[in-house]
Amino acid sequence: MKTFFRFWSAVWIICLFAPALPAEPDSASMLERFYEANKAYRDGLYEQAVDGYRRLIDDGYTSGHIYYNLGNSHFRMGALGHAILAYERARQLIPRDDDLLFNLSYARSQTIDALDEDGSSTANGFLGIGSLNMREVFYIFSAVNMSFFCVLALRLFVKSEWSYYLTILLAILITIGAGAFLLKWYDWRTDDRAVVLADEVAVRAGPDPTDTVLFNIHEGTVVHYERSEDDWVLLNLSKEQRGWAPAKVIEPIIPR
Amino acid sequence: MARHVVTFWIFWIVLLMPAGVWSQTDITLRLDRTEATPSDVVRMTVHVSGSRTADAVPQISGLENFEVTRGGTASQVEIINGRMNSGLTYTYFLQPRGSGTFTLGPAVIMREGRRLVSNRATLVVAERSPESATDKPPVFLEAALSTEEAFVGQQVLYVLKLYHRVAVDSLQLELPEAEHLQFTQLTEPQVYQTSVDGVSFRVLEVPYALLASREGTYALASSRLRMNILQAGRRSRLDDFFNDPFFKGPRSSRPFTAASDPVELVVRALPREGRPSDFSGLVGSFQLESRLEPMPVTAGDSVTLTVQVHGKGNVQQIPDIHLPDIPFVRSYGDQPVLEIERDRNGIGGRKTMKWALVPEKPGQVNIPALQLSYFDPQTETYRPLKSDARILSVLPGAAAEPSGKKPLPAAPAGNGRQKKEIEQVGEDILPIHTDAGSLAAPSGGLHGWICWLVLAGPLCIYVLLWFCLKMRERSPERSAQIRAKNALRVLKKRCREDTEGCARYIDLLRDYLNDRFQLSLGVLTADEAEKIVLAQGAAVETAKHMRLLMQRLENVVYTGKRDRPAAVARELLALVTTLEKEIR
Repeated sequence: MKTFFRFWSAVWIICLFAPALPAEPDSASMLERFYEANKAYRDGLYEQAVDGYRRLIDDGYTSGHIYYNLGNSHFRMGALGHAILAYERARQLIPRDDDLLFNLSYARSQTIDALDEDGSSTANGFLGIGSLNMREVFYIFSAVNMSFFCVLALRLFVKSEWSYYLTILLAILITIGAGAFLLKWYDWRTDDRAVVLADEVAVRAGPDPTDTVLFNIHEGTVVHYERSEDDWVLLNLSKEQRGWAPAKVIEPIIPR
Repeated sequence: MARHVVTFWIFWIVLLMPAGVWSQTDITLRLDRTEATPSDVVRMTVHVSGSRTADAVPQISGLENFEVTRGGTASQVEIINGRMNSGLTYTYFLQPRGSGTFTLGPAVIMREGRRLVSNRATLVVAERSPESATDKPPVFLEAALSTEEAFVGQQVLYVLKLYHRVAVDSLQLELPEAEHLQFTQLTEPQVYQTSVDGVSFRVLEVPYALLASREGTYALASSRLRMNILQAGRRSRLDDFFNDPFFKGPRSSRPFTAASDPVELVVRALPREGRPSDFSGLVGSFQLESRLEPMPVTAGDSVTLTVQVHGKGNVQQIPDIHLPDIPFVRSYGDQPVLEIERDRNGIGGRKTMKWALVPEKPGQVNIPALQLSYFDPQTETYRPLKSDARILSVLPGAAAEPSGKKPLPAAPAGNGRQKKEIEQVGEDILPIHTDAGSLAAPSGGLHGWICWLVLAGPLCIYVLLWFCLKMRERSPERSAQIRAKNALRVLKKRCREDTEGCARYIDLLRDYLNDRFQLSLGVLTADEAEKIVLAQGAAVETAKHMRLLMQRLENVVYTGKRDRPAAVARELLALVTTLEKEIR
């Protein structure tokens, strides 16, 4: 029996800390670059700060706080579209950060187009998982999952009354956790929002510069990305407002 | 004397002699003129001669186009040339409703079973010529609306003015009727003198408020004012003397009905757009005032919150305002008082609502703002009425604070200060995050193999574990161990179920020994059984008992001797239980 518990403890430790393992290399260098970018921001060298944060992200340090700082740097440079894009990406990772929510709201208030886009999704209404990021939901589900099978395995050896009720409780929790995780994953997979990066974009009836201009959208507006064709993307604001715009001025919030 | 008596009787005979003429009964219809205008009043008389009584009043045809007023009935007796005539005269005053040639009559009356029919009379009513300033009739009625378009619930003034140059009395007003439209007289009639195009008139003015409860177009018919026009008699030199009220007798009068022109009022529905949820149908112009006194107050004492809504409009629709619960304050509401005032400008009034507030604790108490809304027809918008939010300063008093409750914050000296909305004076983004600790867990995408390991690993491990356990249970060694473990339980069960007798118990005991000690010896003898249990660590006495019991059971089998099965079973189980304890 002791061997069994030792085995399971090892599995637990490995599973909980395994996702963090690949991100450890060269952390000293990462911190140094992070501080340099922060200093550049404070000194008003916003372009340099943007470069610093971008390089960190390109190297795999996709922290929500780096995206947040990148959004601030873009905002100071007057690139409202890039700022909103960075804030939205940060929100995928640190959705409960008050500074981020404030800055995102403020940046949205600066846009020209009056669109009611708050990034809400179906997941927000289910157990408040909209305020958790993907990793947090996964951790919760994994913990419940492992607890459930541990108790189930224990019952192979000890069939006591308390273990029976614990199994029932964990079965309910694992069902809820699985639902939440699947919903969050579905939202993340189907998030088709994109941000307009240019000052003004003419949305046309077809993927050609000679096609009729249907309407104009402006920097920072969040649109829905449908599909791309050559250098053009089909986007929509609603079911009635769809059209084509150059791909280089529209960037999805979640890169595909 | 006899001469006087004769003279008296002759006088009476002469007086009564014409009575024979009464048999000649006749009926006559007369008009005082043959031509008239719509503003004239024509006198019509129906005279029934030869009678001073009638079975019923005359039935007169052709009066449909006239306003008819009865002028009374008079009976006469007259002696002309020694001939006595009696009669009954019915008088009517007719006012044409329009122009044209009208035939009046015949008048029909029944007398002593006879049907008497009168003549007919013709009256020509000329079209009224366009009025010039000086052609104004001596009496006319005007009606005017303050506005021709209004909203549901909005009050509209409807003013009637009677202009007259002649004396009138016995006025009776008949207002037009319309469904969903309510007339309310605002003031007592006012009398004044005015001049219309240089002609002096006395004016009798009566203002009304109109209130429509539904939208639509209301065509208001004429208002009609019935009256008697007093006619002056002939004047003589003695008139001045007899003009003294002491000598003034009844003047002759003629009935007259003045009608105003019809008017039209368009009533629109209140707009749905922007209608507040607390709108109660209040329309007009209103203000709200509130006061809280006395201030400050001691805990446990009462302070009165008074809210008054006043203005012009349909004040009956002022709602009763609800005071929300205030923490640590008990409130007792008075019955709201509605006072309605009417003046020449319309209906107005005030509704006063009062609450007695008893704070339970010293400190500051926020009295929330109270709100209602009304529709302003001038701007055609809904407007809110909101009282000021107030702060009640409560001083410590004799009333003890409820124990265990934390007192409210101490009140500043003087009255509570009015709270002010925080004003935003600038906007900017918040600064960057500089805490390196927040970067400790870089958030790369979840690696696929880790996900699968974490999600599917526990399931796989569980399944593997379960499978191993099942496989282990199926091995011969494990089976033997299980049989050994369950041997006693199986024996007990079979002893309970098996009722064939003692001959069967020897087999059960042998099976038990084989299973319990994982033997494959088949038919054990009593001696073998003794040796086996001794080898397993049982006591000598127990082993000996085992041998003896087996021998006894074998005897039962081979000799056919009967024994008591229940007693044997009890002995067998007791022995085996003892054995289990000893070899454990």
